[in-house]
Amino acid sequence: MPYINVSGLSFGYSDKMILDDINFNIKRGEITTILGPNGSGKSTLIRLMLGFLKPWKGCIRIDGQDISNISQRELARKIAYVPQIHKTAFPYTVTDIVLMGSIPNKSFFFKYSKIDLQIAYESMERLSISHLADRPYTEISGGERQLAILARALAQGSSILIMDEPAGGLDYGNQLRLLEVISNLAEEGYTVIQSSHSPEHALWVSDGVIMIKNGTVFCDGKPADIICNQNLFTLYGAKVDIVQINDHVKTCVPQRFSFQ
Amino acid sequence: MKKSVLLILLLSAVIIISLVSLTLGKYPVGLSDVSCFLVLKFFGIGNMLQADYTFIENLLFNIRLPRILAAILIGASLSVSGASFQAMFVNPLVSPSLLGVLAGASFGAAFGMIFSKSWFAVQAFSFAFGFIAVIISVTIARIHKGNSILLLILGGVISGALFTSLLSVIKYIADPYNQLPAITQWLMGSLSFSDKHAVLIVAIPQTAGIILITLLSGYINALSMGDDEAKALGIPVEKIRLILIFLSTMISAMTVVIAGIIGWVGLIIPHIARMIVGPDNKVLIPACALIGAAYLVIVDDVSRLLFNVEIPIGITTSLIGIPFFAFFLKKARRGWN
Repeated sequence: MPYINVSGLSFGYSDKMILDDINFNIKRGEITTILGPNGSGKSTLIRLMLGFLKPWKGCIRIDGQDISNISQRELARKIAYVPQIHKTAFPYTVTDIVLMGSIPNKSFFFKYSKIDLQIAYESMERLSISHLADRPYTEISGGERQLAILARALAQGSSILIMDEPAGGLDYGNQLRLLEVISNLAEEGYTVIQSSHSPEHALWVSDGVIMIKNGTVFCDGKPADIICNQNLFTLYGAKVDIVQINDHVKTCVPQRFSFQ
Repeated sequence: MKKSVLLILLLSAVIIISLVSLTLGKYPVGLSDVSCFLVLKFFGIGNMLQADYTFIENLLFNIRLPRILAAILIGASLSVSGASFQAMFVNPLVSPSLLGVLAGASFGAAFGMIFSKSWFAVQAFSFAFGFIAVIISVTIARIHKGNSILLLILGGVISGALFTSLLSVIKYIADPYNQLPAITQWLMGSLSFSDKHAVLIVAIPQTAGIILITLLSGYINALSMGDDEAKALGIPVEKIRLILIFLSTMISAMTVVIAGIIGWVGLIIPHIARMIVGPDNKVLIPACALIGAAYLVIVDDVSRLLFNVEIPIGITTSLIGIPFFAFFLKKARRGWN
């Protein structure tokens, strides 16, 4: 049985259909990348999977359980969310932010305990950002901010990580480091779903790719099988060659620059 | 320094400032007289002339203490609701008046002064319209689906403007010899309005409101990360936000009930507190309550002692708040862009 199963999922705002009959499965411990042009419905799909939006039709199941039947709080114990890089208005310390990961496991009126603090420190340790613990979130770099949010997701203790363009807005080096972190987490057993604008990222770290165009799944499968020049042209209208670097790695090169 | 030690220091500062303020006033009563009296009253030790005893008792318990208590409650309430609004609306530049509570309460008080002779009615109308203004803001946001931050702020602008216009109508029709000066004075805010009974009545709900907001402060941190992240942490965002809006509205409407409009406290105290204890709302909210209380007691001392006539405290807080804000604007907007 697939770990996450999306079947017949449709959603829209007022009369406009955004997603139409989406179906796919995700196995435990896999990294799945959602690719698609701007406005294709990637973010909407992510918001549905996080339970922020209720589907019109169809459902999302985790371990066979329809997520519309469980509370936001219970869902937060199964799924952690890593948004696109952002700043806060207030200079909370990184520890303050990572501590928030304990909220889904607290009672209504809560106070963080020693154990929560310990979980927060362990999560930072796992991502090698312990040295940032007391630094204000507003004053660290974009890459560090993204790791802080990721540490909060780990502190949440959920086994599924949903990331909305996690590498978006990061510089080249930080993008690569983040991909490394994501692939390490998947090896530890986390199931990762990320949306992305880079087919290369899917080629390098993903186990599965879902291509979305105009609100429908245009194609899904293993990256090596479906990331090809025809599909990328259909998806983005861009002419790109897929170049085999060695036995393990492929990359994308725009055709305009391939034959110079 | 440990945050809890800092809070205890702040609490001691509030107590000391209040005790010193008990001795300050037009009629000179020294700290030694006050302490003699308090020891005699509560422990039955020492002696005092009966006439002096009665006089000091009356002065302290009926005049000065209610006023200090009012200053503490008002300072704490405005600062706490300011801090929770700033975090909740993810903007360090908002004040408790954001959703129209002060505009509504001003209109309510003016309405009461025109159409009723009873002071109690003035207070009741003031409280009720403070709430009505906020309910209108929230309803406007709800009509347009949900209570997203932006819609709430726009609702607040509309509701605030509505009650400001209605207040103008009341001022226009008010009798210019008696009612209009009374309304104007109310809008300047003064602790001389505060009578012992009104203060004691609002003290319990205000204290309860402040404690409840403090207990919810862990959520306030998460809310300031944006609705999506807070929801992904399993927080019922809309419910918590409505509870916080309700509590903040209640405590700030009650400040208007006892002392009219006192501006700028809810905006600047959270900034001062953030400089002292940092932005974490679990510490910031109680620190705001204590610093706000100390601040208003001191400002009230200044307002009633600086000149022969008492200056309305709303004027003093604005005169202190505005230059402070202009000076710290750079720090205040840090991290906002």
